[in-house]
Amino acid sequence: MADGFSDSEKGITPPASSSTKTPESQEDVPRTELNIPPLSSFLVDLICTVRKSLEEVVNQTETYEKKYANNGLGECFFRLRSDIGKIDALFDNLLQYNKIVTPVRKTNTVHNLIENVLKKYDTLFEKRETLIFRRFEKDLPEVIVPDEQLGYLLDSVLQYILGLMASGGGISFSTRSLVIQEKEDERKQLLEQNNRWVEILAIFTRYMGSTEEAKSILGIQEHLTEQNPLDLILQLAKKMVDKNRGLMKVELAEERNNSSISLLLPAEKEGSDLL
Amino acid sequence: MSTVKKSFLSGKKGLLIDDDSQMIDILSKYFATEGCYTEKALDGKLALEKMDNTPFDFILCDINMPGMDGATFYQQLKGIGSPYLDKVIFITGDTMDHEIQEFLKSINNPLLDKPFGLDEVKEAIRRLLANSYTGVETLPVTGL
Repeated sequence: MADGFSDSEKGITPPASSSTKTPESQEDVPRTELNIPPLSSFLVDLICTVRKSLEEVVNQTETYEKKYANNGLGECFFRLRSDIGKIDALFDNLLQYNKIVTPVRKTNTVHNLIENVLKKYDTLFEKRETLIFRRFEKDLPEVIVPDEQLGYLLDSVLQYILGLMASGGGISFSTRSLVIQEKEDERKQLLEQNNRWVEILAIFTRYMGSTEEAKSILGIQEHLTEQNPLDLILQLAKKMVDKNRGLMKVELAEERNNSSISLLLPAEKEGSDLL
Repeated sequence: MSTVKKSFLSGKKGLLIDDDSQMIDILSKYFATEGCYTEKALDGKLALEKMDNTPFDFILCDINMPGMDGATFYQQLKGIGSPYLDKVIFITGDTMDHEIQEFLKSINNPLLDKPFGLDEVKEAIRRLLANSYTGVETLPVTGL
């Protein structure tokens, strides 16, 4: 629709009676971004249909404008086209506004982020003949940890695991939601703040300790620190978990047994999973 | 004269049944390096179709799959009196409901609990094939 209109023509003309109170503005309840209902999909569809029709009208008008350019009618068609342009710009603005204020429901974020991280290491898994298993809970609640941070956490955990396990091992990622009532030990204080949790559990086989081969594959520069770089990766991840009021537990076992890293993260409260 | 150890998997044929295509791809590539030929199926139904034409020495089957799951696949084999019943190794570890647990108790097939590594798979197959397994052969190799 924008074709055939100059920028100035697209400008939105303020409503003639901008001081007139709309029915909404007369309500006692103050309207905020949260309580303004987004346009229904029906209205959005309707607007799109009207815009399409207007586009056809504009095309026709443009043809007539050229055809009757030499008499007064050409000017009339030009004005008509300009007015339609303004209406179209208004519709466009309305749709953009609707896009911004419509809440987006986050779903499956944890699983998507796990998949993203696994994808990143696809080639490495193949090279090291690492088998990957998934055990994801359906309709897992969202966690309060921001996506970027959760992505970083998962990446760190996977880096740490890959740095510790020998080739030909297996890693399983599982998720579950849990409600913890008992308040005990280290969890006590945290559990008092939140009782709805999401656990991301990474179990892996063939724990070998930090190997030179693994560090080389992962591009870890040991000389940067005297501390084991893999431990540093995990420490940073743990700090991030702590900051997000979660718990991280690492259990390293002999080669024949399974080792695990558990991330216990606070889940969003029900009904608050809207961005 | 040098010698090379031939894997017990060499020349064997396996059927890998799992909906996780990435996992069976890695397994398949690994088996190929051991001289073992494998067919892949994403669920029990597709596996049954593949079994019509090819004889297999072992079958690695996930329990929890969309479509025909591992337990149903086994029941189908049982229903037709298939000789492959005792060649199935089940992969377990997914959500195990009561019915699945009861099913696993009722059979004597080997189980591989997720997660597992390649060594564990190999060991499970070696045990399964134990009846016909004659140990690692040492073959003379010339020209190396």
